[in-house]
Amino acid sequence: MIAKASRAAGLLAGVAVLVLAVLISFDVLMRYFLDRPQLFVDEIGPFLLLLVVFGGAAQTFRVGGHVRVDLVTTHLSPTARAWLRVFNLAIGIVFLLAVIWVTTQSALTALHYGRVSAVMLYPLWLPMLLIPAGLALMAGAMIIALGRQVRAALGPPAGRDEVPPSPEAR
Amino acid sequence: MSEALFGTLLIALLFLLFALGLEISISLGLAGVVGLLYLKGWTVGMGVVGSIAWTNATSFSFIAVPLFVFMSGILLHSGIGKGLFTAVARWVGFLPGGLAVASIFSCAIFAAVSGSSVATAATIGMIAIPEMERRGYGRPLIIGSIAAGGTLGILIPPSVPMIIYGVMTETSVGHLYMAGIIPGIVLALMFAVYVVVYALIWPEKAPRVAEDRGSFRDKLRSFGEVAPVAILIFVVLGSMYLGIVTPTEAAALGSVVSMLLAFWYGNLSWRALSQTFRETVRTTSMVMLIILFAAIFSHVIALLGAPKALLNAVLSLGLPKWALFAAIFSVLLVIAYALEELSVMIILLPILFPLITGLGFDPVWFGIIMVVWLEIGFITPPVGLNLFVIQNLMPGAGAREVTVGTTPYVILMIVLVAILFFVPELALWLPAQMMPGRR
Repeated sequence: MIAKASRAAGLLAGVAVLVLAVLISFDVLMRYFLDRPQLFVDEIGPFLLLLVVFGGAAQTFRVGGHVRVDLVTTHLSPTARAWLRVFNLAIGIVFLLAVIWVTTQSALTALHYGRVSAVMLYPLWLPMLLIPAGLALMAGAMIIALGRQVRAALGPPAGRDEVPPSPEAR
Repeated sequence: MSEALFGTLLIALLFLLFALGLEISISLGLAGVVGLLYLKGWTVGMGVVGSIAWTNATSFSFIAVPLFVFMSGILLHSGIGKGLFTAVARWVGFLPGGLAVASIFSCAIFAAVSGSSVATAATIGMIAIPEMERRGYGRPLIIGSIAAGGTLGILIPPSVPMIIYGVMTETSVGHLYMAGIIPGIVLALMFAVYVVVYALIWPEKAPRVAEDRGSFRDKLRSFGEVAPVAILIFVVLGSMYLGIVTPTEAAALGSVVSMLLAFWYGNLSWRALSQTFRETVRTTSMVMLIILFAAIFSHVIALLGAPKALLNAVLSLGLPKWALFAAIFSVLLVIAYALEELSVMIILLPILFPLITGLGFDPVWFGIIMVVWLEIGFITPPVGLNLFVIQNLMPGAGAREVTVGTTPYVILMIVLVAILFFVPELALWLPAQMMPGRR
């Protein structure tokens, strides 16, 4: 389910890039030729950027797209590398849970106080929720990767090494 | 615990997390959160985390990042590179090493519509490499010309790293774009001169054939082949130079026009589009998460007063400006050989930028220096991004061939940095001529 949701969120994030390109171009043309700037684009644009960044975070993790330094870990034994990745994933999940908690609180506070955007008065809690939602999906993908990694670390000696976060990773 | 000791421990923790192989973005965020919790406690500290994440992730200027990555991806699939390379080869094919020179100039022209060095190397490389192989060019010459030519993608605007640098340091991205043009052209010419000299010394490494000399009619026809690129250059750079649009708006217009051109060429398949979506989202998400979490870490570093302390320590050495710059750039060069440079730039900027500007260097000028440094990193093994492109296009390219092929270009880039140090106007003249408006 996490895999499907990650792929779907990633695709949605891709479509958001297309929508961004079209909306901003529309704004430029309307402003330049008809002197009618589309103010809503200035506010919708950053919300769509949120969708791109956080909507794509989980799938990026699943395909091994978040950059890591492997200068040291390549010199470790496969078993040590396997357990080190277990540790990494565990602290990564704890960190994400903390950020999810705090950003959810921010969104709920915005909902409670009825915070809106500066010009078009869009409710802010909705785009704010995109941050914890995207990170929660990424944390879910990391939990699944942790499960795979623990199985590899406890499995037959030949397979005790760091494993890709998902079968889709290269 | 003193602030200095705590700052040192925090930086040590960050490097420990990197060394353990934790994702760079998460390492930065984790070290930043530890710092905030120590300095501000749970309630205030975590509140700052939420606030920084929201502010950075909703910056309108950062929208240019996915748009330029998307545009480069569409152009990669569009088939526009073939016409460009063919046209340029007709004009410079007569030179010794003509096809390698054509590759470099094609990269330089394509760079004016692409913000990515990888996309530039891949777009021109997939056309130029088979042609050079067919003519019997030496493999190091092929590797070097495409890998180094591709790096022009980030020096000649538009440029994704320039957007990141500009937004992070509050430097005008429009000025950075204009500042990259002349150094980009100079570097392309330096690369081309090197190839010609190389081909004159070792003609067997770059055999010349009659078909590389285009007829006058062929040369006239080439104007039609580069017309789409010329249109895109006007849309992306011309509109910005004239003050009509911001860099983000130029990126949006460029993306739409690129899609129309790809559609016109008949290459805008659903498969190409969905692949571009995936690559755009992956790059944006990776880069932006590093930026967001690095912002948390830099906030802590700023709270501890580290940039000011570093500046005072460096000033107390009493060294001349050139020596300080040489020392800083030498450290950067070592890093370029060891780590993924774009991430390093994002991590180092909050400390390096106040130091450099405190020493009296121009922020726009330093932006160009950082981009040239990134270019060096992109073609140095083992983590040079452009080298992965070459390995995809030329299976079996070994470490020795890569090193032999790219080292002369690394030296030329260092020479460019020296030229920029002594003649900063090379970068700063054009931004000063820019029309006032939407920068």
